[in-house]
Amino acid sequence: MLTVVATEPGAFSLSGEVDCSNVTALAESLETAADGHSELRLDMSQLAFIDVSGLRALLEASLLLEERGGELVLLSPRAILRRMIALLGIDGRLTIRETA
Amino acid sequence: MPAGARLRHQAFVYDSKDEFVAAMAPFVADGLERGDRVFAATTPANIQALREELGDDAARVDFEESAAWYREPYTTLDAYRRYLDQHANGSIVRVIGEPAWNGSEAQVRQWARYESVINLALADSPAWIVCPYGSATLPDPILAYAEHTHPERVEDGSVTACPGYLSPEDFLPGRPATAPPTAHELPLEGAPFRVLVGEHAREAELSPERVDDFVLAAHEVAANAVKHGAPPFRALVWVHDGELVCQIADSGPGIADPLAGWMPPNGAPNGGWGLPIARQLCDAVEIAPSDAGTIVSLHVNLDD
Repeated sequence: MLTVVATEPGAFSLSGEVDCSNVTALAESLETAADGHSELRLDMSQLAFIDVSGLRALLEASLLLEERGGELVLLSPRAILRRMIALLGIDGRLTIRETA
Repeated sequence: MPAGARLRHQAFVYDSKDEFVAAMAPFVADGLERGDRVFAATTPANIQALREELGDDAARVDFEESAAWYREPYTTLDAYRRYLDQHANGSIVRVIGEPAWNGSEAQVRQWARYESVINLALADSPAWIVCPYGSATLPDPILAYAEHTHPERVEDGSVTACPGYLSPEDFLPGRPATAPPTAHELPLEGAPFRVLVGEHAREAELSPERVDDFVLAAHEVAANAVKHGAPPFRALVWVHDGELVCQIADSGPGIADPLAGWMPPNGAPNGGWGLPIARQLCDAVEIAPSDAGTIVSLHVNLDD
């Protein structure tokens, strides 16, 4: 179960879990959210689980925004997500910040 | 790289430090004289003996202690790959690579697979890798792996083909762990599967961080089985012999590529991230054919 809540323009809070069963919903939410914004901030602190399919959706959204001269910012991801990003060697391709 | 230079991967069984130095010092010195880059991962005693024998030349060798260099097979292979990318500019890279052979039985089998996988993963690298195996300390099954995983061996100063060499596709070191009667069967579906894997990991007293690692690794292997394999599936989890194991079986055609999960994920934007992640988050991930399909076992040591 994934919940995406808009907290302010261009900022969203993710909670619940992302896996292959609902990653399409995440990708669609990101696409809708990115519409009209160049920078998108996602508060990841309440997201209990995300797998590699979810991470791939985040990376794709990030690349899309970069093409438009914008940026996807992941705020306060849990330690396991940071480890996953580092182990995949994609830390240079995602922007991570600690607090809003 | 010199035209046509390809991997040479040789086993060298030695029974004493003197025999090690007598064979390895000329290998290193000859390489340095030709302008080859030289890397040596071996035991502290062998490093010291080699340094003494090489004298000033030792400063031109990149030394690592085996226990530090050989921590986890995927990571070590990746480190070699990066070392070769960095240093094989027009010359050969000579490597003395003596695995530490530490850990559980599953980890030892995984190191043997690593030795075998090198033949494919580094096939096009201008690397000359000699892997010393100390017969004074290693048990016979590991010495047999040396013969199965190296196309050539160094013996009495000459190189011969290993008659027992097996291609990585054919090399199957031992059987995957058999589930004990105490194993728990888990439903192989998304969130409920993850919740139960997490409960078993906490019950096994893994730290919260390692619980997260294990849950993610098990999830990725389960997701792969459902996506690429075929039913019936079976997921088991157990604690036995100082290990927490999660084993996922499917009845599909199997994972044909012997390099599955061994190559860096960067090159595979459309897939292939799950297994490299699982390998790096666990102490050993074994992929083995079964009578019905494929069994993937994730092992975590409980004594760390």
